[in-house]
Amino acid sequence: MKLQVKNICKTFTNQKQEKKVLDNISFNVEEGEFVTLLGPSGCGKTTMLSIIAGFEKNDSGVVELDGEVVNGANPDRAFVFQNYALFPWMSVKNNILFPMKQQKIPKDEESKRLEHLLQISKLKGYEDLYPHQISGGMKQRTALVRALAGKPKVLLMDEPLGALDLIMRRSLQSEIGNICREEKVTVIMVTHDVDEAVYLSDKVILMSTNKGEIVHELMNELPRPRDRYCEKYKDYCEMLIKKISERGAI
Amino acid sequence: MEGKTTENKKIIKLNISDGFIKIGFYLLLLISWYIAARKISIPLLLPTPLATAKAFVSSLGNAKIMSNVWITLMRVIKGWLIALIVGIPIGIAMGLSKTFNYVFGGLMNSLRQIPMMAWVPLTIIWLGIGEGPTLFMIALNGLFQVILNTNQGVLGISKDYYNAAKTMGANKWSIFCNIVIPGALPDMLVGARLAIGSGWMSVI
Repeated sequence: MKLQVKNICKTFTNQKQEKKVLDNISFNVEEGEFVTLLGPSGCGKTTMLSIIAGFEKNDSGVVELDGEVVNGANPDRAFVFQNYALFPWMSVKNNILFPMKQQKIPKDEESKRLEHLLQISKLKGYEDLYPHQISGGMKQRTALVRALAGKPKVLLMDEPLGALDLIMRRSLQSEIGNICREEKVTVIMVTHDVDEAVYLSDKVILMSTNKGEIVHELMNELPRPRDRYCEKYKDYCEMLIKKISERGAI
Repeated sequence: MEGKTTENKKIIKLNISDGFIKIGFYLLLLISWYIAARKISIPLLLPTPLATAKAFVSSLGNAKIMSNVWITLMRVIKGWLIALIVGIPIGIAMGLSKTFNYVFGGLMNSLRQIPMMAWVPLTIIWLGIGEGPTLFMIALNGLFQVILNTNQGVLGISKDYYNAAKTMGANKWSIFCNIVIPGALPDMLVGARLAIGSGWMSVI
């Protein structure tokens, strides 16, 4: 499995004003890789992710998954939304079951998978509650395992921890890392948090506000689980922050 | 959750102290009514509260009046159901299809401006005297409430829900059943509630 983004261009037209947000952007994601699109707000990283998901149409260029051009939203590319987008009229259990029901997975397999997902997301015992009855962290985990329930090839996450406080962020960062590795899924995550990018990713793609231009690709070879206090980790963070500020983007 | 429980407590607390104020208020109203009726002392213009209550109780026992109340109630319910059956699909279609909204919206918004009383002569000519015009008026009155609210409900569903459902493999029918209907349901119920209210109004 390989995801290739080739020469993507995207221009938004707003009240006759044209704004080019992505100009000829290309990058590759290898099977099982955790890739982060890092950049300041307005660099087009979320637009890039929406194009990969098929929510947004690009003007030119292609996104290929396993050599096939993707066209529109499809369960091979699951999405975790910044605001979770859990269906408020369904319980945690039914939210997680939703993708499996759509794909008509056999009943016994379905319940086995549900059990497994509840286990790894520590949502056991909360499955009959509704989204408004659970905490932000639990909503986040529900959204994550719901996205994984349909066994996507690629998991796309748009600032998945954006709405949580620092402590919750930290603990969920390690959980997200564990869950994604356990499910052996390829991940593309969007964030503006340098530490989050370095903590979770195998590869960090740094985008700038200059039409999404890729300024740097960092291959992070630190062993997992990552130690935030080791020198190399700090160096990575420093280096990325320096590169972002050099561009005068933040 | 915590916010909710304190809110609930507040409501309960309000209910207890408010209860006395409410009883006091209505007592005051009854007394003023009584005094006013005594001052005027012409029962035809303003009967006393006691006379009104007696008349109410005696009409409860009157079979003819009760059967008329029943007929009226049935009319309102029938008209309301017609408004729901016609209005909900139109409201949903207007919410889902820009074209339908564009084409149909103008017609609906102009019809909506016609005062209900102006329909009366027309409906009598069209449907004759009797059940027809009454039902038509009740249904029409509620119809706009149902259409507008259902439409609002469908339009208010976050785009993220549609996108999320698509990435999970939902087809159009599944999106309709699992996203559109439950997402718009609260507003549909508001429409239904308003429609039954205006149904009662127009039945008179």
